[in-house]
Amino acid sequence: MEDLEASLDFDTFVSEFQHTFYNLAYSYVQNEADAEDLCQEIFLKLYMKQTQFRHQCQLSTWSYRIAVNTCLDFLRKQKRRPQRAELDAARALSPPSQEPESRLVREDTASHVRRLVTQLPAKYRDVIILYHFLQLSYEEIAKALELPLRTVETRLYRGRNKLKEQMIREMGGDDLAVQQVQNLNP
Amino acid sequence: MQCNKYRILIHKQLDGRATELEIRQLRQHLDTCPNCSRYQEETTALMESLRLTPLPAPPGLQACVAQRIQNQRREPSSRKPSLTTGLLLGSSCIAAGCLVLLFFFLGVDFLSLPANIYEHLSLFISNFSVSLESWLSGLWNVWARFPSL
Repeated sequence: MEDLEASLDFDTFVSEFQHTFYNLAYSYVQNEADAEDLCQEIFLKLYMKQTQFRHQCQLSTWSYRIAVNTCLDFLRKQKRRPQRAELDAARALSPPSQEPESRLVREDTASHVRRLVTQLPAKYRDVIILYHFLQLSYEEIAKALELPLRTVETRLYRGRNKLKEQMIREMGGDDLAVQQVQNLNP
Repeated sequence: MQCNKYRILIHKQLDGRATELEIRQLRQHLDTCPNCSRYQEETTALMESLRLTPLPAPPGLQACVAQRIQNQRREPSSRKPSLTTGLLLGSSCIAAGCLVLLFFFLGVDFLSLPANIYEHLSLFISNFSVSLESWLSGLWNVWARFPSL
């Protein structure tokens, strides 16, 4: 990853990371309009803070750190719970070749999962978003959130357990595995 | 409890971080523990649920970011006034504080001082503050330009 201050065009950086940070933002705010605003805020903040990058870690790690903090600041300012995910955004999650009815089932599941993740305690929510939605490694998450590796492992473990309990509770106690299979093969 | 240890191993295995030995040990345990087997199925299903297709960024996002950066560039001094004000205030307080301490240690009786001395003092504090603010501001600019120092 090249240095922002060097010859790297910031536009190239935006182009490379726009989908990643948009997904990060959406994971926190759960609606397209706020996600777009928040994503712009992230890039603006990165642009303004680029002179503060000390090369003590990778640029991507530093960027994720600022991005997550920007998302948390945004939530604090809004002081409201995330809204239900919009179906038109969730439509992008399923292949177009599927039957409409099964696509709706998938959309609800995806939106449902995203909503449940945002309702987790912050310490579990952040690691789950970074691991499952942004596909960062344990090590990258540890650096981005400035946590020990062991803490990341523990929080992922506990966060998933809490998420599973919540999913089972909302499904009325049905077997999670059975439900998942039904959703994937309607 | 042993099962707790194996449940952690289940997560480790699903994340691709378990060693061969750990995987063997886990399989042996799962063959004999229906609760952990069920836990593994549920956790696998959960991980599958979390495997969501990434959302594409809106088409105009990059242009909007570029526009916002342009707007920000047109207001280069948006932070400077508050920084300058802060430095000036800080410098004034430092100067005034130093003078008070100086008079205190010299044992000066403020009430016996001639009236015009306060004019001279306020002028001194003002000039000292401006000089100190310029010095601190220069240091700040150097630090911002060469953050590796």
